[in-house]
Amino acid sequence: MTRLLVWLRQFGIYRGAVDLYARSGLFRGLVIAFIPVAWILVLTIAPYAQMVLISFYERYPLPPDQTVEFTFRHYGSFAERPLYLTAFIRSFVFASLMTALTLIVVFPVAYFISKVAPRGQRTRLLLLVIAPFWISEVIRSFAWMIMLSNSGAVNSLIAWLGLSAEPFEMLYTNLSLSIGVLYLTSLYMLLPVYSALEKIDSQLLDAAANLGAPAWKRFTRIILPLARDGIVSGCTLVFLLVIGLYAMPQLLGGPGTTLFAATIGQIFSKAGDSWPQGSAFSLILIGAALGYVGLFTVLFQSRRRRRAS
Amino acid sequence: MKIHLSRRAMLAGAGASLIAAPAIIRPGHAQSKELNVWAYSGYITDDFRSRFEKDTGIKVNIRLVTDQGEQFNLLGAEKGKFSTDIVCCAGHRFYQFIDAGFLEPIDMKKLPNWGKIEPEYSDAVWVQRGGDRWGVPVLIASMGLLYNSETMKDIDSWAPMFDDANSGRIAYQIQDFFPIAMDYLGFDGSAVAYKGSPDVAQRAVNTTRDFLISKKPLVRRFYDSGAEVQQMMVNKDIRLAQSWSGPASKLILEGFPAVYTIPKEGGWAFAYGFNIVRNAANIDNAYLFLNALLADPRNGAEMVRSTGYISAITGASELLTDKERGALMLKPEQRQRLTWVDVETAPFIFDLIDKAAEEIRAA
Repeated sequence: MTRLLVWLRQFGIYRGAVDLYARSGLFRGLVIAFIPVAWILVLTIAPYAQMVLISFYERYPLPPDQTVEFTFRHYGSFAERPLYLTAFIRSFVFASLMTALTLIVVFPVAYFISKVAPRGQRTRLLLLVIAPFWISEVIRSFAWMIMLSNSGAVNSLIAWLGLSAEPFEMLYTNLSLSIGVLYLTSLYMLLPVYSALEKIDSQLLDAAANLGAPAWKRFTRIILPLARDGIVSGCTLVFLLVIGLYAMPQLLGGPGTTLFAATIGQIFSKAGDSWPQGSAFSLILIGAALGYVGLFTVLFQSRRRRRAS
Repeated sequence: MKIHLSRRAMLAGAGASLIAAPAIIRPGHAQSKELNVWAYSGYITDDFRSRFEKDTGIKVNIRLVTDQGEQFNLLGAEKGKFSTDIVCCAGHRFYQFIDAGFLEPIDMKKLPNWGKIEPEYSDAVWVQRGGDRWGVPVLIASMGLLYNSETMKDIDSWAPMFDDANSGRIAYQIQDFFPIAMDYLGFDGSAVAYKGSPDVAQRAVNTTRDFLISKKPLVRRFYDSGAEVQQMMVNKDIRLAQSWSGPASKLILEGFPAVYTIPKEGGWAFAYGFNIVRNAANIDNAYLFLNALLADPRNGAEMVRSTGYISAITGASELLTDKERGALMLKPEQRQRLTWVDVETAPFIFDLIDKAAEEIRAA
């Protein structure tokens, strides 16, 4: 390696670049930032830019020998058909409820691991919770299908216990979808909330208890305010994940649980020239979701954190 | 060992690398001993593929697809530089592929085994356009009613699909069931009657759409693939469904207590074929493949066993067992109830149906 660097010194360009790197902080910053910035530009921004462009095309893919025409009509078509709006609103309501539910379910788990469990056991417990996430979303969805189908494990158990001869219809309903989504999103809530709770000094809680603060007061006056940033981060992650869910609702959802992402997927998968409409709807969903999350962050994130960001 | 690398040698090496780069990074699909095929699961059997690869030395790369829209969009995205040589079009959709400039007409001189296709299918309207043949029909499918014979008896109508008694036990694929629902309501699902009258067709589609939305609470699931309907039947999540003949036959052959029938209001028939894409990189290999496929009825029988559909290759059905024929073949009176999807009107009516399907799903 050293020999290579010495050998490179014979080239003027290399020597100039090394000297500039040593002298200029700006150049150092540019060199270091080049790869991540290029990564973001090429892999994240470029596809979105392409999607924005396609959303204004009259039709795409273009038939042979046809020229590009631009239009705004695909954005307008969102409002023209009220049924699109139904799926759109359903997605936001579902994502909001699932975010709240995930928080309610995951918070006690995060609290237990960070504050109740012995310090030496915490990593092991976290690993236990994270382990199912090594398996893909689709395979976990199939596992739930096996559990919740009419002849699945849950209904078999109910029948074996003699509770009901008729199977309960759980699969392809809001219930099965909610269970699957909760299972999917819990990790994204757990890690930021755990991280925030872990930082809370336990002596604060002990002091409050010694001064006579009951458990509910310690929770509302100390734990919640100090964990607020973690909760906001977790809710943001979970909401954005749920609003764009496609595979799991396809597998676990039913006719009454169609989310807007599935509607977009159906537009894209149609044999025809409907990519502009799919792109326009995708951008509407992205814009609305980011606006919703932005508002949530402004309302709930602590002022200290907002100032820092 | 010391390596002295002069600047000139370094530049020469870099130049050579640049020149060689296109060859090194050349895509697999441009190589002459390969063939790229997009096909549904089971359409190219492992046995046939092994024999073909052994006999010709051509490696067959298969990309599994799940529907026509997926193939159409992939071809559209590739903008004429297709990564495949052969696609798998349904007879009623191939006009869309031709109009989009994706397909190459079949050069009959390069396909001497064309005569081994059953004449009923080789001369069908859904193979031809503008005097050319645009694909090789390989499998014949029907669309009918599949029901669990333990929980339902002797059904001969589509009416139970709209009956409250079966609430939560019904499944269908929206786009394919839509023409059936149109027929059930007294409209023309083939849209032949609506040629030149798009307003009338739109009204028929809207009425059917509203009817299906009103019946949506009865539906357990809108499925997309044949495997899903099999799975729902086996798990007893549903007791009746609109189904393609392939998944239904396979379910029956595997011993599941089910019946597949064409109800009195009618069902639909269509064919799947292999079509060569325009400017296919390995066009000679594509013809070798199609000739080899048609050459031996054994290939057709193997496809039947892996898909559950009927083979278009002459002599394939004779190689099936009585049990297989029993599960696969429709009774003559049921065969008469089938209507072939009209290739002329299909793109027009499916365009309307696709939009209605989005609305039914979203409602």
